[in-house]
Amino acid sequence: MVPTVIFAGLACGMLLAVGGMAAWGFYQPAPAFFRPVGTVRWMVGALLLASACSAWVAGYDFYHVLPRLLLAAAAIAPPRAGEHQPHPLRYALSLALSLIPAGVGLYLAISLGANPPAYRVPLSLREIVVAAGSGVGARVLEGVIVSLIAHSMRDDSSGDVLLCGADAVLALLPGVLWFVNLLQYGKVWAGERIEVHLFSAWVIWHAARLTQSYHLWLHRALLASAGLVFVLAGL
Amino acid sequence: MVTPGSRDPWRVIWRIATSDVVLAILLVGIAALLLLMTWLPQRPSADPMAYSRWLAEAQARFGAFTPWLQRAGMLTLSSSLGFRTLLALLGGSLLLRVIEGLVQLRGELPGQEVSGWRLRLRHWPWSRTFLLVAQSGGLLFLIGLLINSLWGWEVNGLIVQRGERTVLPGTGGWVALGEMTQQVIHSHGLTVHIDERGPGVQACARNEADEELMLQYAAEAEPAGRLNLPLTLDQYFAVPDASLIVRLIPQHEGRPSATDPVLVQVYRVPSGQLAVESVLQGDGEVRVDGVTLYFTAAPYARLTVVHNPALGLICFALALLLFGLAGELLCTAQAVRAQDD
Repeated sequence: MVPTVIFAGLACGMLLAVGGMAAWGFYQPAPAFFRPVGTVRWMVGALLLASACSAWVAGYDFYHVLPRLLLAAAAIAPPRAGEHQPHPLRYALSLALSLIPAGVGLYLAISLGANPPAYRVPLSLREIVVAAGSGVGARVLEGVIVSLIAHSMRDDSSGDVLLCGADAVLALLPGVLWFVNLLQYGKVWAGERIEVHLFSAWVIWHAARLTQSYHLWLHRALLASAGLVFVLAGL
Repeated sequence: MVTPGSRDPWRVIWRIATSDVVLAILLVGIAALLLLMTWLPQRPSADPMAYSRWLAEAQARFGAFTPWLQRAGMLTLSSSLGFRTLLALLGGSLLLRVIEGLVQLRGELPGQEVSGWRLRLRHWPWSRTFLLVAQSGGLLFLIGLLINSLWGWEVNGLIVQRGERTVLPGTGGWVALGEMTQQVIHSHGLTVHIDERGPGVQACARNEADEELMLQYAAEAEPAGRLNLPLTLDQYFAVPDASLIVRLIPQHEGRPSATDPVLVQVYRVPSGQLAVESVLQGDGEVRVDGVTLYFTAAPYARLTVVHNPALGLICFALALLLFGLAGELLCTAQAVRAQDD
C-alpha cells in the first residue's frame, strides 16, 4: 500500500498547489497562466490513476471503495476543454470535487495499511466496466454539480475529450459485458447485484442521451442520476 | 372524420408513443424499479428453502415493516403488473419507432438520380439507419427476454462429482464432469458455468477377510458399498459392521479447489475415541482395527445450469443494438465536428 499512499499523497499535494496557483491566476488575471496549471492537473490525474492501479495491485479490486474513490478523483482532476479562461467558482468547485475523493482515498489508504483482502479474482471484464463506469460517472457528476452551483446553463460537455470518449465507452462496454455473460452463463446478468446497477445506470445514461436536445434540465438530472449510479454501483 | 384544423387523435397518440421523452421516461422507470429490486430482497418463485431464507432475511432487515412491504408489493416487484406494463410499453414504443423509422428511411433513401454505389453510399441516411438498427436490436432483445422468461429455466448450486452423470429432473437435460473437473459435458441446449470446484472422495471399506463393508451416510439412508462424498463441508459416514465413524474435513484457506488435502478422522463407536487421523492428498487408504478404508479422489463442481431458448436471438439482438449504437455515436460525432468546422 506504500505506492498508493505516495501517489495519492503527491496528487493531493499537487492539487493543493494547483489551487494556490489558480488563486494567484485569478488574482493577477493572466489567461496564459492556466495552460501550465491545466498540464499539472493532467499530471494529478495520472498520479491518481497510478495510485488506484497500485491499490488494485496491493489486493483491492475495483469493487472496493478505495480504488473507486481514487479513480473518481483521477477522472475529475483533468481540466475541461475551454478552461484556459475559467470561471473562478467553477474552477474552485472542480478542484474541490477532485480533492475530496482524493483526500478520502489517501486517508483510507493510510488507515487500511498493509491489510489487503486475502483473496482477489483476476481482473475481469465486469471489473473493467465497474472501473470505467466509476471514473466516467464521477466526471459526469462533477460536470453537473459544477454547472448547477455555478449557475451556468451552457452545456459544454461536447468539447470534453474525456466525456466524448466516455460516451462511447459507456454506450458499448456494458453491452460487451452482457455479450460475454450470455456466452459464459447463458443469461444477460450473471446474478450479481452490481450488474443490475450497471444495467440501470446504462439505461438512464441512454435516457439522458435521448433528452439531450430537448430538455436541458431533464438531461442534466438524468446524467447526474446515471453518473451517481455508476459511481455507487455495487458499493 | 378529420376536419381541417382539427387534430387526428391517433396521430397524436402515435407521436406521443414514439417521442424521445416517452422512451426516456420508460427507460428511467424500468431502471428505477431494477434499482429498487436490488435494494429490497425479492421473493423467490418456487424453492421453499430459498423462500424461508428470503423471509428470514427480509424480517431481519425490515422487522415490523416486512408485512407492510409485502402488502404493498415491494417484495415482488419483478413479477408486478407495474414492471411488466413498463416493459410492454417499452416494447410497444420500440415497435412503433421501428415502423416509423422504416417509413422515414424509405423516404430518405437516395433516388434513382443518384447513380453509382459510392455516391449512393455517400447520400445514404446513415444516422437514421443506425438508429433503426439499434431500436430493432432493443426490440428483439426484449422479445428474447420474454421468450426466456416463458420457456427458459435455471438450476443454481447443482453439485456434480467426477464420474457422475446428473439428470436434471423434469427437464430431460443432463450434466457430467470431465476427468480433470475443468470441463463439463452436458446435453444440447444448456449453458453450464462452474461456480466453484472443491475436493471430494469416493469411499469404500474392506475387512481383514477382504470382504466389502457397508457404509452409511445418514441414519435413515440405505447402506451402500461405495459412497460419493462432495466435501463442500465436513462430511461423516459410518461403518456399522466395524463400529466406526469417519469424519472428512476439507483443508483449505479461502476458496476451495479440487486438489485440496482432506483430513480423515476415524472414531470408535460408542466410545467416541479418536482411532486414526490422517491427511489425504489425492487417493489414499487408512487402516484401523483390521478395517481398511479406501479413498479415491472424486472432486466436485458446483454448477449453474441455464437453459435459454432465446440465446441466439438475444445474442443477435445485442449485436444489432451495439452496432446501431456505435454507428449512431459515430454519426453524432461527425455531425458535431461538421458543425464545429
